[in-house]
Amino acid sequence: MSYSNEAAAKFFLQRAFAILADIKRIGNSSNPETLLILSYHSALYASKALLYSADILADDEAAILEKMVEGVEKGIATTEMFGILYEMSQVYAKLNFGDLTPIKSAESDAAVQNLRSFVRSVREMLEKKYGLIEGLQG
Amino acid sequence: MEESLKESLLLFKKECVARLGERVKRIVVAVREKKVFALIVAEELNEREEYKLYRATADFALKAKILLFVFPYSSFDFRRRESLAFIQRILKEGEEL
Repeated sequence: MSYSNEAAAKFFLQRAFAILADIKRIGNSSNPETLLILSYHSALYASKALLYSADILADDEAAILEKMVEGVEKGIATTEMFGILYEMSQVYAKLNFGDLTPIKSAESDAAVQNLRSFVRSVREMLEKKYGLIEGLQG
Repeated sequence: MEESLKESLLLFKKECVARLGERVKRIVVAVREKKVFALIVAEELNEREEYKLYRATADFALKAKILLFVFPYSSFDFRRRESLAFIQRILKEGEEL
């Protein structure tokens, strides 16, 4: 028997929250690059959760971003949520491509802050649909 | 590069010029699979303007349905980073807008 999209959505959201809990745990002791990478990946998992909950399947980063555009059009995600995800993806791209510009604390702090509101929004949306989801610490 | 994509990107260039005026020195775009990468070089680009460009890019991605990733640089910074592999790739594969 295959997993339902509901099960997958919950799993991806749990993963997003687990990364957020790790971010909280390592907090300020970590460097901005680590915080940014973790934040972006958590946001990607939360996005994936949102998309799966609407039976929109996406796996890699480009597909998730592309489908989130579709998600906004269909009213599954908000423009603000897309903005948060996309801004993180821009900073991540610079880092990922090997640019020598250091990530500033202000950038990673903003990413963490935005991530919190992002995953909370996804949680609210999914719990509205599925009821209480267990294992969402952070 | 497809004509329709180029037209959309020219609209994005207009947006950049509207924000930064004649300080925009060059915009080079390269397409890789589903993503479009754009180097934006402008004179004395500050952090706030850089951030606003990221926001504008998010709006553009939503409206145009194009996954555009911008790499904004001040002219001075760009000269220092020009030899980096990813910048060289974009310059080599890309097209000046």
